[in-house]
Amino acid sequence: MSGTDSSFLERILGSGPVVIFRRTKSPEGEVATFVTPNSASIIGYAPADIVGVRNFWTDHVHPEDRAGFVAQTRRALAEKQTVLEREYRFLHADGTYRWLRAIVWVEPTGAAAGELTGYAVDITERRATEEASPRSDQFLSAIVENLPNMIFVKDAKELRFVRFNRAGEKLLGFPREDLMGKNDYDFFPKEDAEFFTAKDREVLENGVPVDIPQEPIETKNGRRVLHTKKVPLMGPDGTPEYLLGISEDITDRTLIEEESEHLNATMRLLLDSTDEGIYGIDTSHRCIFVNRAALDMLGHNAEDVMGKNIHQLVHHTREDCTPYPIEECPINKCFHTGNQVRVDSEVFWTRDRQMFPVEYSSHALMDNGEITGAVIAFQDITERKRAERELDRIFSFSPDLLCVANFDGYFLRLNPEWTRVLGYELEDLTASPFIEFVHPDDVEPTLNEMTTLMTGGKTLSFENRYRCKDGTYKWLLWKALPVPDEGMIYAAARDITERRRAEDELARSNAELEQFSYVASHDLQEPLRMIASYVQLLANRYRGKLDADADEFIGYAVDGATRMQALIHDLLAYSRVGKQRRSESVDTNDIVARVKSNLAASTAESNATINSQDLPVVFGDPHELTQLFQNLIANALKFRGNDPPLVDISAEQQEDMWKFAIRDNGIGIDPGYSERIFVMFQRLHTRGEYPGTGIGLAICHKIVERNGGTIWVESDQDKGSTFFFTLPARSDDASDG
Amino acid sequence: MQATGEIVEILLVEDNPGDVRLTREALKEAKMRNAVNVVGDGVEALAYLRREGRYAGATLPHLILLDLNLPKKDGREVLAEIKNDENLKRIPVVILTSSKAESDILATYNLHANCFVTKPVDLGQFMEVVKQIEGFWVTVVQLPAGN
Repeated sequence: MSGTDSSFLERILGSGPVVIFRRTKSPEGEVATFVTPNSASIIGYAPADIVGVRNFWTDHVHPEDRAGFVAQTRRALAEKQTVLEREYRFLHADGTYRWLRAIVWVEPTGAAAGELTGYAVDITERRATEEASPRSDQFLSAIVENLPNMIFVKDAKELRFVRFNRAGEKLLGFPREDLMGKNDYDFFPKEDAEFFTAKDREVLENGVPVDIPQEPIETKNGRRVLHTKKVPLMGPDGTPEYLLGISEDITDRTLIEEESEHLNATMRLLLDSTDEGIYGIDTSHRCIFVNRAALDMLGHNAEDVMGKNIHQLVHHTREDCTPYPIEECPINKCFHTGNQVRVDSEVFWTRDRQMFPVEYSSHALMDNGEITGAVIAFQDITERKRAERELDRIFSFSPDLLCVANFDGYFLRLNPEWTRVLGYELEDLTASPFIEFVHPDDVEPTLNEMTTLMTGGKTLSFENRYRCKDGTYKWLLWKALPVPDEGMIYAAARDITERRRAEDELARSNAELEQFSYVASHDLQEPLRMIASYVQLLANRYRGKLDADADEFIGYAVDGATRMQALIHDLLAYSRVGKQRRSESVDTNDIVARVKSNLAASTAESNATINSQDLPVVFGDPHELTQLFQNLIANALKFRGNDPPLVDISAEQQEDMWKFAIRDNGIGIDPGYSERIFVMFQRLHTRGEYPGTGIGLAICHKIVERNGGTIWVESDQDKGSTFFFTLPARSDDASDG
Repeated sequence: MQATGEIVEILLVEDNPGDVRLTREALKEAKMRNAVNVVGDGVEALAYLRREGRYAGATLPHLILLDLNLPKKDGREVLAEIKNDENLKRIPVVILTSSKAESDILATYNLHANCFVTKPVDLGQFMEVVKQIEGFWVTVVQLPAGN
């Protein structure tokens, strides 16, 4: 390198931030042989102050750093290191220390052995920044010492204490000198020591921290409760080297909690003994208490709920699965109004993401006139909703017309059957008073029925006609129950239009049948009269003039024709019952008198006695009643025994009916036949014994029924019979039909 | 009252030959000698009484026995026309029918029937009733002259 080059380099190097130097080592020390001129601006000394001065560099290293500085150099030389890299404090000419970072090349061997060439840079500012975030053990120790929690470190092998802080000493009541190098068994009761040790082993074996929320411990100051966290500290090989323990003394807090627990025990018991879910929230919707029933319904543990925003937990979504913003929640609204709210149309969600319908009420919690939260009581109303749904379905699916109406005469609620039967939309039916739909002829009875209902009477069977949309009418049969307190009527109607039609049809068909039997028997009479007359004429004129066979044949023909005439006569009488019937008051004494006169011949012939007490006035058709008495009395004479017939006629009143009895001393009737005898053509005897058509009692039966009564017989064979029948004492709508 | 020996003219309006014969048989046993003329329906009856067509030579009867149910023109119509006919209305008309109906009885008396008799079902009674009708109207009742 030329002189010019050298001065050029020196100029450049001497103006930079880096001091370049060369020093030699000798047994007497070290001495600088070269320093760039910028040393003055960096360390405050010019090269002239430095070069040649024995141990100048070493002497200016900070005393605390010097031993290491010297040792490092020595080691580098001894171990033949070629590069050293170090940072140390250097005494500036102004008396302050500057941090220098130096890179030094060492000549460990050869002619220049011991020569050091390097450069140094002032890094004071950088060090200052670094030291602002201290990391020295000393700094950490100071922190550990002053923490209010007990901190301890145990070695991983023997679990002996290797570190302990002041708070720990104070807590346990032992100076750390007593503890260091000992383990738990040395100063804790055996059970406690075993528990602690087991936890320690768990931490070390699993390599993960363990949290012990409540850890009782026996100290010199008595029993305390700790909240302890134990953490494994890993060594360079990745296995736990130490166990770090941090314990907080929560004895006092536990006591306060226990006391307040105790105070709240009664409340808690009350809360938990109800089936209603109850929880409290603060104004941020955080749960501040919750009872058993609420947790059961929601499927949560208390820990899941306490302190949590309970709207987000159980009320976050509506029944239709759309989100439920908390701002729209009625519970939230009651924070602003302070009022109570009651809701039964929403759902809560369980932990398993199942919804259930609830009814809840929310009361604002007030403290000094300020709303501090709310208490919410809720019930799972799944069952009630199901019952409502069932009722709704029954209401909707009923084949009857169901309705709720008010005393003002309007339908309030109707089931869809109304639309099906009458053809209106339900809105059409609720829009006007229902009387407007009633057939004009039925309006008055309907209003009367309404009056009955409004005074608390029930409707058990009422029929009226409702106008359909198409203008036709339907017959409805009603049952209704009023609830006067509510001003409501609950009613069911049945469309009986078809039934009415069928009834009318049946009545018409019955009338036609009667007409037919009347006409038939009447028209049969004519040809029969011809047969009978001519057979009789034949008998009159030719008896004994032909042969014996002819007489016999003619005899049978006459007999047959005569019997047929009797049959047709009776059949006509039967079919005439109820035709052109008059209903009026009839004195039965007169009836019996007429019958006696009609039967005078046979009475005389049989030597009979007919007694009657004073008989009543009844209501019926005089012609039919005559036939009734006549048939019964004639029977008594006909079915006589060996003694002369004795007929006794009496009557007694039973409420608004008269019960008649016609008793005879005749042959009687086997009780087994007492029903059959009233049926048409039923005969108990041969024609040879007692002639007859088997229609007489059927006529009696029909007459009594048509007049609104009943007929029956009581009898014993050979002891006579008593025929009973009832007839109405006075006019009655029922017997008018 | 008819003079003894005079033949009593009777018009029987009856469509049933059986009844015609029975009536004839009954009248055979009657007190008075009688001549029974029979027509089978209402139209014929009126033609006879008005001596129309083939009945131009007919004699007016002293007594009419009229059935109600007749072909063509029934007994009620025939009765009404007789009683509205100046020449016929004084001839006694006895309704002889199998009907017992109240309505028939009332209707025929309203049409001035002279009497209403239901044909008895029994042969003996029938014979008796016909004889009595004849006896009453022919021998008992006093009728206007020239009848």
